[in-house]
Amino acid sequence: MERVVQFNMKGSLDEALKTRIKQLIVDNCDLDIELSDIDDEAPLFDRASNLELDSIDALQISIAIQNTFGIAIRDSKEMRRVMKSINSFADHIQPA
Amino acid sequence: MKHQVYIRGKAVQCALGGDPERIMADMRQGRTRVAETPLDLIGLDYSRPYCRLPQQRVDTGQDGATYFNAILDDTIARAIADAGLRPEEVRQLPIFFGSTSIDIPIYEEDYRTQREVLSRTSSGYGNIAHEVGRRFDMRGPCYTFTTACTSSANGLLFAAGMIAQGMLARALVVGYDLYSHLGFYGFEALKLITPPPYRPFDRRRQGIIMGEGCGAVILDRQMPAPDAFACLGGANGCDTFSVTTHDPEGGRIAGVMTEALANAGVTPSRIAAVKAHATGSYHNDQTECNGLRQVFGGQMPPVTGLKPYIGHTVGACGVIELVLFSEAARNGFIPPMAGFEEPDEALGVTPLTQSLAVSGGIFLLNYFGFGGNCVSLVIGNGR
Amino acid sequence: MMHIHGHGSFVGPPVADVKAIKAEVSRYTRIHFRRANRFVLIALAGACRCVQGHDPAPATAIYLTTENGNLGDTETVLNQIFHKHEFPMPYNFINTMSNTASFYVAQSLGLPGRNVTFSSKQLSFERGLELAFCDMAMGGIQSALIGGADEACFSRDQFEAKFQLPYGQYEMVEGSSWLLLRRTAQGALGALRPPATFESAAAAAAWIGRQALPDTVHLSYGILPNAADRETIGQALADAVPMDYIAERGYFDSATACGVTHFLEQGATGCLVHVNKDFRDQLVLLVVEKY
Repeated sequence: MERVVQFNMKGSLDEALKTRIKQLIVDNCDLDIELSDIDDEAPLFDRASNLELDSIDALQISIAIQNTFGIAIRDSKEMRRVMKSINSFADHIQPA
Repeated sequence: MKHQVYIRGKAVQCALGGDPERIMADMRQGRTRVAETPLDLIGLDYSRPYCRLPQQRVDTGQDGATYFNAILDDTIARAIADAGLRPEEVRQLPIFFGSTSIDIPIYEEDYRTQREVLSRTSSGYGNIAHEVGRRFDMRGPCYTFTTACTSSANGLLFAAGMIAQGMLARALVVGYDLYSHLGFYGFEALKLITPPPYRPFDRRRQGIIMGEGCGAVILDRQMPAPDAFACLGGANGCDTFSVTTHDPEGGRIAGVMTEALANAGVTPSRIAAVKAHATGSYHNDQTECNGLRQVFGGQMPPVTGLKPYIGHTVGACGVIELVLFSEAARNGFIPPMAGFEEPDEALGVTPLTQSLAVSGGIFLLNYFGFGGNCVSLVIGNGR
Repeated sequence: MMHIHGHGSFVGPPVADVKAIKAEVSRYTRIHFRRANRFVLIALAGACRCVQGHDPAPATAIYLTTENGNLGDTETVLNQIFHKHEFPMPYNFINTMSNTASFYVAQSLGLPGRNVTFSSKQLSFERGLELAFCDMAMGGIQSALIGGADEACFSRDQFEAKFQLPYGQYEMVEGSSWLLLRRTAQGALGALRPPATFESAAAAAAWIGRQALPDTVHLSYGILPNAADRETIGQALADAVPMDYIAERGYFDSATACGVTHFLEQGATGCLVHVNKDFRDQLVLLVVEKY
């Protein structure tokens, strides 16, 4: 039963998925930060963000997502929308 | 000891072929040749455009190295013939070579069945130029530039500098980039490639269409013809803003253009037209136009770009676009920015939409690349 | 004549994890190089050591010479495309362009001037010096940072096929060696004469005979000059002190740059005559004077 529930779960409610996304970002961008220090709601590419990510990192993450989850982000406008935060990212990968 | 430096001979091979008359005719008609290229190596079901050479390796039945060298040698031989070099002049030639992919296209086919081919077989960035020297029995020194999309533009800059200084009498300068999967898939990974139409400086521009080609020029102290182009000066600088994009404000690239004009001893008002780098990427065009407006202010000369005709030939574009631009000017016209329709207010620069008739003049050529590299060249022919 | 104002070198046996090189680089610069790969880091480590304490002018030109450049990331990207059937990762793809290393040197040292990544096989450093000489002669360039950087060669087969020399006879090292050059002699610790090219060892020896050299001459060779070349040139410099920097420091494809900085690091005075050769049998002599 639990499996079925998880499969249909909206990405932003799926802690395991969000941890996977955070781990993927940390690994692919060579970040020196604990996963627990990444806020689910905070803007990922904000200047004030503790991640200090830029447009090259966004491309790096988008290709890592494509290679891992098979989900292509075709253009930069879509990329900005999808990568707003960990929650929006998770919802894009796993819509309800 | 300052010598004039002239283009004594030239040749190209690009998407529009290698025959100068046909290339000029195609450019007058706004014709280009774009091939949809699938991304099937990584299992994707879509394709992207690419400006391929008219004849492909599969048409020739040649292996990678033979095909690679045939295009290179043919272009160089035609440039030497065009310059009318005597055998002893060929024997003394120094070789300036610029490329982004260098010898990668030779080895890529082997990667379908093998690994680490480059590490086992490639013999350094300088190898292509040295092998050219061996095949043509050119005994001069070899200089290979690997500065991404400015590679062969740097070759031109340094060759012209060494001739002007009297360190060399003449030089062969080559820009060469054949199609490589590495470059094509890499640019698509960076989301830089646009579907057709290709329209740099247009409000609706969506990116770059890549191209392949080879260009070769013989630079010489001797003036070969009264309407021959001279390299009047140039500059190179590094925009340390980011490894992939220049500062969008355009300050550093404006600085390099200004330095190139000063080096050539001309004021901005004397520039008859600008060949912009104009890749069609959102960032390049924004940055370049900001830079152009800082240099030229309200007196913007006519601006054009050549990539819509032959694609962005990456490291080779320095020499190829010099040849196409100077040949068009000698034929009395500056080609328009093909594909351009709608001005972008944010750019504040509207490129040529129709051919511009010219008879001689001084021109600015821009080239920018990854690694913050900026090169501007000033060329002119007097009548 | 170009005057030597500083030198620095980061050359040693290859380390498995580049973290050690990152630690070295972070001693000199505060920029965090998340995207830097091995080649970028070895180039940076030497450049940082070279300029330390010299405060180079912002217009200082950078010439990074290399034989092989970013081989590691090029292999990674080709493997991603052809064997994993995936898009290349952007970090790796961007680093296939070797001028990312000269870019990071410029960015970390605050040098937005002339910037070139350059190669000429075994003569990369010597030919790179010719570019610097030309720029200084034209008058636009007052100071320059020039280095040779290469990763170690791990392939016995490739090395032996390329050089026709036994791989086991050399210690393979990686790294970079740099010089800070200025037009002005004021405050200089030495000088470089323009590299001289010859088609034979006899012509090189004759040229040496015509040069005014200091009393003490040190003599060193690149990897390719053979026994006959060494005998001919050795006769022209009979009293020279041999300096076998390849035996002392190890071999990598930017060995010439390492030889020059090795000489400058020694207590010895006088001059160094460095003899190098390429696969087309061109000999290039470099004369380095130390004050």
